Amino acid sequence: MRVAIAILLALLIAPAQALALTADDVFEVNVPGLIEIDRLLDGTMVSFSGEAIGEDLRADATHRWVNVLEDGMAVGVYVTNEQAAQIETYGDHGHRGATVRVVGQVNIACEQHGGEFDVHAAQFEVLDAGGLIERPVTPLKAVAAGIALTIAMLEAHLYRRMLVRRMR
Amino acid sequence: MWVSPGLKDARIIAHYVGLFVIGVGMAMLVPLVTALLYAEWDSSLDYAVGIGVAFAVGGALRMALPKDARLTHAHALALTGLGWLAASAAAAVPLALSGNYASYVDALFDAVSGFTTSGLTVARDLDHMSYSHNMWRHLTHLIGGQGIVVAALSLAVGLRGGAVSMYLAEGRDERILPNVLFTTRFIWFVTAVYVGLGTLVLTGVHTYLGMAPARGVLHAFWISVAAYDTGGFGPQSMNAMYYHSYLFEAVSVFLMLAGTMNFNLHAQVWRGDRTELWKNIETRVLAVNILILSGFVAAGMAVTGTFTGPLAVIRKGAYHILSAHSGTGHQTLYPNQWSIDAGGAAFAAILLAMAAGGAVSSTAGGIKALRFGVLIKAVQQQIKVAMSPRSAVTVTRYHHLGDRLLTPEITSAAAIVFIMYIVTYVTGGLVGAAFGYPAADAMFESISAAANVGLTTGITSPAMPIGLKLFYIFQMWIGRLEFVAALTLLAYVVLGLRPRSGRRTA
Repeated sequence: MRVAIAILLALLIAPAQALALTADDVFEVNVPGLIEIDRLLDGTMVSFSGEAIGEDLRADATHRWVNVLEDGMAVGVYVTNEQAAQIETYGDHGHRGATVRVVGQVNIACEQHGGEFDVHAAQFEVLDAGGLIERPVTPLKAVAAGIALTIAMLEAHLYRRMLVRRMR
Repeated sequence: MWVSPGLKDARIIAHYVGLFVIGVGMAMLVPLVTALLYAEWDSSLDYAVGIGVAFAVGGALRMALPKDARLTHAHALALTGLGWLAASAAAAVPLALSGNYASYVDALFDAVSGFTTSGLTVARDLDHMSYSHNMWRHLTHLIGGQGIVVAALSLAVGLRGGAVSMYLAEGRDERILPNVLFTTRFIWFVTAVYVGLGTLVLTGVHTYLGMAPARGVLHAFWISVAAYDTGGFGPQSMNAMYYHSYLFEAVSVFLMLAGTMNFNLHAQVWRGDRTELWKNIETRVLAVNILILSGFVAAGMAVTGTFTGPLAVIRKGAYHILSAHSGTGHQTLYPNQWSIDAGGAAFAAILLAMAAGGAVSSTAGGIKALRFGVLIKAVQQQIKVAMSPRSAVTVTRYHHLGDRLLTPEITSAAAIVFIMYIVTYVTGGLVGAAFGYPAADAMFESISAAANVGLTTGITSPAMPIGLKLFYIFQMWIGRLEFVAALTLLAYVVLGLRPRSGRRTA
């Protein structure tokens, strides 16, 4: 009887296991898609790329946080100190950050990190080093500022004259 | 009888609004200097234009001053209402030029959100925004948190008569010191102490995290301002999630709590009367609310099972209850996590915390704890009356900066504001739903806007319909001013546009 049950269970479980996700499965996503991810994929491996922004931040003695931005949304990636050291440029007003490719485990509420939505990187690769963002000065703004300030000074003069006239 | 305003009234109001606008232009010198320090040359021109426009428009309005102008109570109310809008319109100019906003309306949205300390944002590419524009966004929190009128009064910029009316019209129910000028300066002093302390401690936290010194100090100042002024803006698109730090969150919780406390309570405690902290009806209502609603958040999170362990529930649940109750809006969850991961009870608890708000005469928004306390006492009195003999005289007292007698006037004033907020919340929810958003999310966003909180389920974004942006602007404005000044201004406009025959003028 026990053997029969075991065989029956094995028959039922085997196809389910074949369909179930394994740690080797890697889902290709983008960052907004990652945040909207089906909650059944919590704990699975995902792969995405994006811009490293701001700076890397200390997580613990051996790890750093790198925030990766794509299509207006960013996610925290838990990387080793060595992986973080590969990044030379982080995105800010004057810089386009390095484009990094991350393969890692997504955690919708990471137990290790107090419920954070994060990705623990298994593989981390810099695809593009990033660089400077050119922010040319717009001359029209200087002209507009000049005109507005001239009008303002004229008004200030007229206002003073108005007050003096009224005091007489 | 309605007293209709005339041209002279409009000129008096225009004159003072002009002074506010000039004041906003002067405040833009701070981001201008920031831009020059960090070699953000194009951004510096945004502020040169902003200052020029503010001075030119403000200067033109200032010249409207009629002879023998006397500022009345009604003028003060109307100009406070209009002053907030005009200040926001001026503040939006450099933001609109920054390239981080799709349109002027989007820039105006963030300016209103900044001044009203709401913290909702429609900025694009926040992670590449210049330091100077981030400085300006957070400075709007600092000015608006204390109040634009408070800022003007503390500098005593040409505001003489009607100062008390303007101060009270700005959603401040109480004076701290007998003189309104000293009161406003005390408010700035308290703010300076907390923001200064917050900046110092957060700079240490940022240094530990590995941020570069200058960036660490700037982020520390901005976050301190946003948390203490219960604003909620952040220099990064991830908001408080960016830092991945318990220490950071602990400091910001302290600042949010300090910001949600009544300035009068700060004064009492600073004078050495610490018992007031425990006896005050506001503190008690806040403590009970936070405790109960944190329980509901924990229950909601337990049901979904996404957040396991007390640490995650406290870090994510209690943090957001405090953020919502104080009206700050700092987030450590993604917007969609509210509807997916937190659970229905947590969603509802956050909704109620946002609606309830912080203390009166604080930087927080919402209905306010004192009004809740008064209404609970009023219910208690009704029950006492029902249970007593007809001849009995029942008296109910409550403690708020001294023992006070609950009078019908106090109860009705609290009930009126309570009803106004509920009507605004529900109307905003209906409007959001009419734009096609899910009803629950629309209600969440409406309460967040009207209570000046800033938490979002994701509706607020650059892609939001312009009609909804304008409606949320209206909600943030009317919610911050607690209706009276805003409605007085609307009444002024309506009555001023009526045909002149058969109406009385002020």
